[in-house]
Amino acid sequence: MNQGVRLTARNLRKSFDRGLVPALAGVDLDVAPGERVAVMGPTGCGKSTLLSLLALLDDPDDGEVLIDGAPAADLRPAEQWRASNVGIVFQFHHLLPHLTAAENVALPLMGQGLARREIASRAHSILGRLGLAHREGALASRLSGGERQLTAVARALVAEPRLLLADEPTGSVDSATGERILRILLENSERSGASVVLVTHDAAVARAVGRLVLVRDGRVVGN
Amino acid sequence: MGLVARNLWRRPRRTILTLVGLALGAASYMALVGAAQGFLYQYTELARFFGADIVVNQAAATSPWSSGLPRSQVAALAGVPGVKAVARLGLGKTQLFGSPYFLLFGVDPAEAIAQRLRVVKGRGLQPGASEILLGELAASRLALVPGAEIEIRHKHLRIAGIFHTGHPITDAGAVLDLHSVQDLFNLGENVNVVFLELDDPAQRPRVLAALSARFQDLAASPWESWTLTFGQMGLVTAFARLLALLALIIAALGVSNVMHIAVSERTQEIAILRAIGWRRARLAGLVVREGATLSFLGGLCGVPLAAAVFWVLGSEHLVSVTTGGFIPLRLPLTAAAEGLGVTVLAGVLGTVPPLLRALSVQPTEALHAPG
Repeated sequence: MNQGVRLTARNLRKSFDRGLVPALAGVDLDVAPGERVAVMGPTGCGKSTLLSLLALLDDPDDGEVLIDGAPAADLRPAEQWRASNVGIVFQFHHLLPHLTAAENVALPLMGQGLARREIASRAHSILGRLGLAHREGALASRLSGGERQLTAVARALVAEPRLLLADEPTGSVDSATGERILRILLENSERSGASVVLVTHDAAVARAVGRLVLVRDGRVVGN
Repeated sequence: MGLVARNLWRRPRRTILTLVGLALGAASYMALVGAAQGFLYQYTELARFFGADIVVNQAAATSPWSSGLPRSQVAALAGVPGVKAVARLGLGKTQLFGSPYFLLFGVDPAEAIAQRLRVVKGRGLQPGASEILLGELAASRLALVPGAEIEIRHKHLRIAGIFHTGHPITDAGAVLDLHSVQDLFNLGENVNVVFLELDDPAQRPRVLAALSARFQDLAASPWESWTLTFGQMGLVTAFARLLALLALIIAALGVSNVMHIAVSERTQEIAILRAIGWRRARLAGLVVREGATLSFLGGLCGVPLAAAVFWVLGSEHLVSVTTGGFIPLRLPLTAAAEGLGVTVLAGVLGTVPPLLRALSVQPTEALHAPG
């Protein structure tokens, strides 16, 4: 079992269009190793911006993100750290349509020094765990909506990340698939010890995750 | 490489059209450079065929035809220590039966170089006779046989025989007695080029140094590089390379355009790759490999196209009518290899602007809804 990431956000501020569009107005958040946190709030409250800062996809205007107690700014290049520590599930599957399900799942493992056979084996294994082994050779463009999102989940989990970030992972699928995806993410966290931050506007999903953080107008209003 | 192939094959029509453009650019490059290389090669081989260790011509002459060496200098060359034999060559070109460049080589039948011509029909030249030896390609094209007569510059010449050298430049032309060429082309007693055979080829550097010290108005060169002394030849090759490069630049712009469109279409995909941990260097490698693969395949397709150009130009009909043996019969391998290499290089350079675009994509774009 991997030790989950301790994630700390201190007074995160972020705005767009040269300050005209405020997104985060000073967010503080602590996620303990292995903890599962749901971030909930209305559309446009800054949830996705917060996620992108926690994933080190973007830099805050002010404040800082600490990873296991160390400033994230020290973890450069951020891509390398993400590749070996973070799994991200986007609201929309964002698969590469001209690649097969297995090839999409294998993408995070490429360039990590793994043998091609090892990469294929890991992709096959995770797709099998998610019940998609029979579809691993299908082009992403030929998968159903649910299969696509499950494949995207497999891509996020294949590198056995210590931190799983999910942006409305159940938002674009039917409720049965949504429940299945949520179960997979939580079971994986249970088994691997990975920390989870899941953004949602669905109260049922948030309740299932565990700890709930409420965001409104770029601030944490309930914890 | 699997990812590269998948990305390229994603828009098959566009990839194929780009390949066609690249293949045409590469083929143009190979054909032009090959023709220029072949042009020089033909003359170089001429000196080798005639057994020269050293070739002497007039200094600062722009082409072999404009070079002139008087009899006195030829005699002086024969007296240089280390020189075993001197062979004189007179050159002329005329229009004949539609061929704008019918080359005539004047040799002394008594000198060694005349003996190197392999006469395949009829007999060799007799000194002083109004005779001509036709090259095999020229004879075939003109449908002439020994015993027939042809008229060159109002002079009637009897065909004594047909010769074969294996070099298009000579096989597409004719050999005459040196005096006949001197008369026909008003050379007086001058010759255009002198081939020197040495007692000991190993002494060539020493003899070359002695020649350059003693004959300031002559250019003496090893046979391998004698064509480089002529400015006109350099001009032809430089011009061919310039044209070739222009063709290739157009092809490279095509690659750049296609890659730019491909990168623009894939902005979100690139953002996703960065979001899931792909480093900039890895992304750059992917884009460059796509450009390199595209241009390599285009260049490879250009090889048979260029070979076809030489096959057509090298056909028996065209060798004597249009190209006069200047263009080699086959695509030179060096031109094909150079063309392929330069095409890949141009293709890779063409990926630089789209590469910069790809590297500027921010991973946060992955969070947006699919566009």
